[in-house]
Amino acid sequence: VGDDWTMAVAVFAGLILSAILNANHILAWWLIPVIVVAMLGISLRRASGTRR
Amino acid sequence: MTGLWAVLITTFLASAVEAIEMVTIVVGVGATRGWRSTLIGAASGFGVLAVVVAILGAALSVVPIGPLRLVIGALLLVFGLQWFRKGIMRVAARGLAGIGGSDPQGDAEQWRGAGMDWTAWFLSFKGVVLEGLEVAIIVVSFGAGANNLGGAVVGGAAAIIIVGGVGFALHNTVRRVPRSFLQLVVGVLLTTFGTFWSLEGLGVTWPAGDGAILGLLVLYLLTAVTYITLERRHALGLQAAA
Repeated sequence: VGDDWTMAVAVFAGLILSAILNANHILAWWLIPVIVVAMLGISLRRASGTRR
Repeated sequence: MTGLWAVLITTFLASAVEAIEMVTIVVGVGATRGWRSTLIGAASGFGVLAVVVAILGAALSVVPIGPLRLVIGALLLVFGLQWFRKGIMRVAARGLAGIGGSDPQGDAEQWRGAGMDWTAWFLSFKGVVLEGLEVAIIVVSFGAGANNLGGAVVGGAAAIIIVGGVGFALHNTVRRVPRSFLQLVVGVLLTTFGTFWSLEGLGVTWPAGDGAILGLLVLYLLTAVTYITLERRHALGLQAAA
């Protein structure tokens, strides 16, 4: 899962949540792109903090 | 005759879309990680496909593609996201240094071991298996529907050969792209396909169907530009403070 395992965990949690939303007929396509963008930001910020 | 051309052209175009996705993954992974393991992975994928097609034949059209898309998409997404992150950090730190293929730091991602690079093998293998299976399903469905399996097989095979040939012709050009930038682009592509396939595998309907791939690509490219700019500003701020 690479250098930051929390991104992989967030993706799998997002997929489970997307499946639940979809099963309840709620729009779910937006969730994973939002998680990807948000987790990248969090992970990069954390990496910058570590470098400092 | 008109029917034959209709089947051939339709199958060719539909298969070409899948073949472009397949070749993009193989060329991107090969240029980033090295070609040997990537090509062995692609060849293994074609081998598995040949066996599956030989065993199932026309029954391919009833293969449940959803779970396969979900598993492969999720794995591509996880791998792609790590490359996406590393690509942003490296491009932010070094810009497009190494253009022309002489980027000693960027070359660090290339596999140097004597054995197999299983990451490259795996990414290439699953890209070929999933997309190849989709081409096979298109061929069987169109061919059976139009009662012209021969024409559909020719259309599907021509799409893979032509798109594969274009990918092979471009691989030297891709080699001249700085590794850090290439890693970012491949990361964005794997994340895009991974997002699309995993959600499709869950049965989620995308607005604009396959066109959503372009939308995702634009979103992730804008994300990359934004984070690279922020990382650079942050680094400049640190230098000024020091």
